[in-house]
Amino acid sequence: MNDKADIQETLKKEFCTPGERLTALLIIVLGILGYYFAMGMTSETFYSPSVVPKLTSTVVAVCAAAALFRTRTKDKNPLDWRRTLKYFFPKDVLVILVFLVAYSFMLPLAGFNIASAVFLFAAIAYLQHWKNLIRAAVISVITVAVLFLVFRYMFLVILP
Amino acid sequence: MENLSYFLLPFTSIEMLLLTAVGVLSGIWVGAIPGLSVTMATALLISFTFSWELNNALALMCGVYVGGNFGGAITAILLNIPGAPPAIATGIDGYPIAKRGEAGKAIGLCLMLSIFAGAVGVCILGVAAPILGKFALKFAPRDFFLLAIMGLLLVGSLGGGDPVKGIIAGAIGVLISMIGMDNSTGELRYTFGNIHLMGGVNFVCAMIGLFGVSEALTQFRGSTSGGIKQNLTKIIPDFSMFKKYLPLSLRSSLIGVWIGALPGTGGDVAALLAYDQARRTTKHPEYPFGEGAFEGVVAPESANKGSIAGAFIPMLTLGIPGDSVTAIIIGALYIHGLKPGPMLMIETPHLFWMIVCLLALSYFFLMLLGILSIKPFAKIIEIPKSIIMPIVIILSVVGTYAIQNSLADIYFMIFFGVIGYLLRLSGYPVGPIVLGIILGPLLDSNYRRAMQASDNMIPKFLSSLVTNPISLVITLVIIYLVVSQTTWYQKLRGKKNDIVEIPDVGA
Repeated sequence: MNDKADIQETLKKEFCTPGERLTALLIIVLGILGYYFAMGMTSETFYSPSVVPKLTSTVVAVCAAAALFRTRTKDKNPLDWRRTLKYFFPKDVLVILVFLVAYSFMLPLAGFNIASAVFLFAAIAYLQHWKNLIRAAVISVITVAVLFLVFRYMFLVILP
Repeated sequence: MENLSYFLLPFTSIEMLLLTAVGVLSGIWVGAIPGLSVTMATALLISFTFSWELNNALALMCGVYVGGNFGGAITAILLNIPGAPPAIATGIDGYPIAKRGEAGKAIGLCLMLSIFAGAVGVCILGVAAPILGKFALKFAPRDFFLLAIMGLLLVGSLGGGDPVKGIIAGAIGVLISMIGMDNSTGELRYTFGNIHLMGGVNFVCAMIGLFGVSEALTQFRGSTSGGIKQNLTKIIPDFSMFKKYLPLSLRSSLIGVWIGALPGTGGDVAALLAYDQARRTTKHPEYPFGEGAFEGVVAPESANKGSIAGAFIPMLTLGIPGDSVTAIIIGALYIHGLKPGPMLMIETPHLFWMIVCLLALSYFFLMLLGILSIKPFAKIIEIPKSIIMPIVIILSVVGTYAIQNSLADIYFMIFFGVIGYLLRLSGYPVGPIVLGIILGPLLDSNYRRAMQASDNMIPKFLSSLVTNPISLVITLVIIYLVVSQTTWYQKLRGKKNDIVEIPDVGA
């Protein structure tokens, strides 16, 4: 059985969604940190800048604790950490994310036109399993050219 | 009679008619592209229309405002990526409709009822503007605070099937909105010495990340080969369908006018309130809410069209902008030497009636140009995901950069995209996060003003929420919203809990 089918099969039986407890725990930490940093803000009156951040952080932490508490009756998620990671980041998502991060760092170096054309070509070619490379290249160049003309000259938008 | 001649003024100039049409068409396209907001487009227009005649500049601006407001719904329905904040609620049911292959029908229905709702708004603007404007001014900070609470309670209906997760997401949104410099004291909150955080997190940047990038990433989980074939044979809804949704559209447009008339609130809040109202009042929708109910598209779209005319009410009668676009239009009036305020209607009544006519004209052009735009837009969804989704990512980058020309915003947007993607997979809805970011500043600033007005005394603050008639009404509505979410109430009503699910984690 391949990984994807294996994950789907296992998920049919489980109760806790993958990473449910970990997400709730992380949100509790977020709430606690939110409150902790709000303690450093001015807090003299009930209308001080710290009041709403403190109240909101408390709501975040308490509700996340409630969400975590509710999982006590559920069975532990049967996916091990490797398969949980694969559930959250299947290969396609991971590759596109890497392309996206590379694109964002390439933007200031290569400029909008080149960086966008390269990103588009790489993403389309990858998602189409490196077939029709010429078509992917043509789509990328035409798309970037149209976007450049429309945004720069019609909408007067400054491009990255 | 004199007012009628002022009203008919735009018909005397072919230039004004043309500019209104051009404004509507460009507004539709600007509104449809995530990140390119109507506010930004109107601000850009000021830069090259300040040397024009005021009437022509206003014609273009009104056209862009109306067209842009409709355009936002197109991408929300087709790609589940709202082109503009008022369309956030539209995508909840609009996208499932598109997945059924009925995007053309949904956009067509949206368009027709939007025009109806817009016409209702324009009529109210023309007839009741002075009265409504004065009433809206009676809203005290505590009422705006209550209004923000009421808006946040909508997470109950946008909660992805789990109100607790909805509340968590909404509260995280409020927490994010606290980042940056506090407007009233100048104190820095949650900035950690980072210069890019001092200006706060722009909610459009968060919205593009949470909806645009996270939607694209979610789509990559499934098959990326084919698009969804759309049935485009019947775009204009038949009369029976139009008639069926007319009462809902009317109710929603009235909500829109009312919310739009309140300074500081706009089409986004109006649309969410109307969506919630539709979900509560629709007894037997053809499809459940969240799974492609036409009511879920009609209500928010009618409300945000109504809010356009509503936003002009305080602007034209009191000189207070109803939303960000009218704030820019006020700027345009100042540039042309006019002083918006109570004297505007006395000294320059022609301006008031001309704007009413320009809005009506914009809706007329929207009907013509909107129908023509549906087919080309609907074809977008038929393009394979492997091509359209990378383009969506590029558009998200361009749109984010356009907000304030900052590369840091692009990194924030990607961060929000990844967080949104992870939260969706964990069953946390992303809609309430954006709602929290939008309503956070409204809640914070008005709570603090109200508490200050209560001399820092909690009992006095609490009693003010029930002793003032307006506050009492909103408090009672809030109590109803809370009680109606309880299982006890639902058992009493014998009604199945029909909480809708925003996140769609792909195939």
